[in-house]
Amino acid sequence: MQQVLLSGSPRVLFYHLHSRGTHRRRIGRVMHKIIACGRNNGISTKPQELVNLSGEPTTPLGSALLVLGCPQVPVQTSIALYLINRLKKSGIVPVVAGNKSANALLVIADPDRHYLGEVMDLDRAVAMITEKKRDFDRCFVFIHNDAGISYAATMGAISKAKIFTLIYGEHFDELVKQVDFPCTIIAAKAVHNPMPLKKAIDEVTPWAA
Amino acid sequence: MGCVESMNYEILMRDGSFKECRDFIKQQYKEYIDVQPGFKIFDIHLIGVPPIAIGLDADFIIFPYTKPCHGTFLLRVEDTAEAARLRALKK
Repeated sequence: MQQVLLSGSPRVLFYHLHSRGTHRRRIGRVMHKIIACGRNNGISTKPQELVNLSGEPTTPLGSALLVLGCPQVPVQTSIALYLINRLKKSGIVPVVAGNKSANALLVIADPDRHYLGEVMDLDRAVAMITEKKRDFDRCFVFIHNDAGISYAATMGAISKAKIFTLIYGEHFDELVKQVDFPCTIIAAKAVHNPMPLKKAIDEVTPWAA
Repeated sequence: MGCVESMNYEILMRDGSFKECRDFIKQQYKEYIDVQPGFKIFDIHLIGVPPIAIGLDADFIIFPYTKPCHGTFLLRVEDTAEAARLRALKK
């Protein structure tokens, strides 16, 4: 990926990624800089390489879908990356499904895809599973609001995956009471600090066979 | 008709819980059907806790539409063909 360097201009700069070259355009007081970043906006799409704890390549032992909720609560992105790492270390191929913002938070934080593998739109994931075009062995649903419960229940109904609900946020205990479908609940009061939820996940070890 | 934004819809309830939307449909509409999550309506796969209620009022269809950041909306859309298809499923 070509590195983006800010010039000394104090004006507000908007950087727009483009595949055909580098251009600068001034519109009023705003400067647009169009930068060549190669295909796919410079985002690496190399295939996922699974390695075990000792760093040796390993054969995938299963697949997992991470269903992201609204990224309004900060711990989601951190826990998603942590979970992806642990799943990959256990030989499980993680796939992320979220809305545009939730996916972008992960993709932009991991541009060389050291952690991330496949990332897809949440609606597309629901459609593919419903139409039996794809399914997963495990499904982790991030929940911090009522919509998260709806998505988890939907995954439980349409997928054969083992469902894990990751429930967090200020009112996590009220959300736990709403879960009335078969799943493994991993819950903690975590809003800004991901540690309580990380500890809860470590106790369950959902990456274990 | 794959995108909700392209529909001529009316929002009956916004930012509500899924349960509130289901209760509203069952209380306000005599005619409704229960479907499972993932059921396709207007090329949209419905999200929700089963069973999901879809209300029918003449040619209008009332259904919940969930977005991760905004909770569940209750939408009312007029579509003669889709209403007829849903009624046929009841039989």
